[in-house]
Amino acid sequence: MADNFSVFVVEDDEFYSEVLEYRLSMNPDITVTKFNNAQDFLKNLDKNPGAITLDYSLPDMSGEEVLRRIKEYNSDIPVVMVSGQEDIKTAITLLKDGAYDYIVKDEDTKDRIWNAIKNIRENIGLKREIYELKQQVKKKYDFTTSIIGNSPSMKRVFAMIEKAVSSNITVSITGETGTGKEVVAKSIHYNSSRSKKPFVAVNITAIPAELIESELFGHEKGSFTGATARRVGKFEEAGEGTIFLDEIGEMDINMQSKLLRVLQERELTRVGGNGMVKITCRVISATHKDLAEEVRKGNFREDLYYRLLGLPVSLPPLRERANDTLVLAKHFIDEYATENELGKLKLSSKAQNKLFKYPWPGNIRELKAVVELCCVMTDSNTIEDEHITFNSTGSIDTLLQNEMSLEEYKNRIVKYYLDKYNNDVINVAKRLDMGKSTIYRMLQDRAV
Amino acid sequence: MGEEKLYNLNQLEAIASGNEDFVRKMVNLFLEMTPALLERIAAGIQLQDWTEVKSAVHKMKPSVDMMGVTDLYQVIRDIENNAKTYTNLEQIPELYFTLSDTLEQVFEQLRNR
Repeated sequence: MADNFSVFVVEDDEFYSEVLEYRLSMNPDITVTKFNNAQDFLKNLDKNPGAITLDYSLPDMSGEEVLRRIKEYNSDIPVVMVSGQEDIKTAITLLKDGAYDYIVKDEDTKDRIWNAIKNIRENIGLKREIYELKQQVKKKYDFTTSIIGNSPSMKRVFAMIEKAVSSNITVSITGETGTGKEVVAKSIHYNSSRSKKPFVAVNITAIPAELIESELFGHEKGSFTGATARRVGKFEEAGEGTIFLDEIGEMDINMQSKLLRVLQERELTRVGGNGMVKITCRVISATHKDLAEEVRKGNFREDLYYRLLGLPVSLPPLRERANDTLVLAKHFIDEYATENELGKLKLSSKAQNKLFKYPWPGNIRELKAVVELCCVMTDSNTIEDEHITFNSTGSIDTLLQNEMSLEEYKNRIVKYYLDKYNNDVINVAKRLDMGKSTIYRMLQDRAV
Repeated sequence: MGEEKLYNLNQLEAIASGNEDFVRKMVNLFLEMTPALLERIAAGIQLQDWTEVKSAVHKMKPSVDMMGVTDLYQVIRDIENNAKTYTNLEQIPELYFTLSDTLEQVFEQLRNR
């Protein structure tokens, strides 16, 4: 905002333009250039002023015509129209033609123009900020940096993403939890031609089933209790961007048929509304389920399955990604170290081995959490294997990771069941299909 | 001079916020440009060119308002409106005399400020 801001005052009333110039120049950042006719002004338009105040009744050209020429030249320059009289019809026409504001000449005008220019400058600041943030986001989802991996299975994924980026096709992403489905969806969006338009993510499981229709398609005011205002749904919000339907496999069967109709017709009706709204967004869906299997079981509509399938991208679980675990672990360590301004951290070979052997049921999400924890746990610049703790929730794979003897595993299992069933030995023996005397013996030996 | 001031520079001084040069400059500008506008109105009335009358009065309006000549606030608007809508055109010469007489006094007062 500190940089110089040029305002063109186009006004044939000399008295008035003096006042405006004086008032605006009170802000030392603003440079005012005055013009008293349209021809001179239009000749100087190529100096690209930051804003223009334009008198509606100039001697040589009508205000509408001048406005039209400005907009033709560069539609981004804000134009504040100043008029000697209040004329609502003219005001509306001018605003429709792209005027930023319409101000009537009276004693408050100079303050209104002052405010209008202030708003314009703030607006330009915000626009610049949005542009910069968008660039940052784009960089963040540049898929050469956001998706990491050299394994053959990931190379196939990259090839698919590249195809998705260069076309408009519907994409379906499958993969276990934590494999990065949303990251892939975002990379596709931010690298596609739609990148300047919105990316709208909807997690189907996060929305109660009865609200999902209005969430996706919007609703009209009064269409149901609590619908106090008209609301635009996610499909409309996405506009010409991308809508990302996460956990599509969890969608209830009634809603599936509604979604299918919308996708087929490429138009929707808001809940409680009559009019049709065209949809123009790209659809990317994701699920951790095997949708083909769900179709066979009758939980997912076959027609919707094919409608959504488009270009299928299947994300491999981390355990099938060979060396990628270590590549990713190093990436997360570096990221964590940079964010927290720690020095360079490395993994000891034992630690590497431990990470490599673990099956990662929670995939990359889990890897990131584990790695961040061990960055905190270590006191030096080396992460040892004892700094690594796995907290997977109840997966048998995790238990196996402890590498105990079979005897120890047996004791653990029996103890688990005894705790669960209040030391009811007979019940536990039946459930585990083992002799109850064996359990008694284990109890006697205090093995459990 | 005991006569009542027909103008009021409060508005202009508020904008100037202490800059006396600016007030002087604007007063001079007013004294320079207004007589020419008065002539345009007079000529317009003589030729019954109401568009010309309207446009000249319209241009005069912001500066007369800004100089705080409250006696003319309504007069100016009446002339502009009558000329614009072609109604009560016979009143315009009368209104014009009020306008020019008052302004002559204002000029005189401003010059002797």
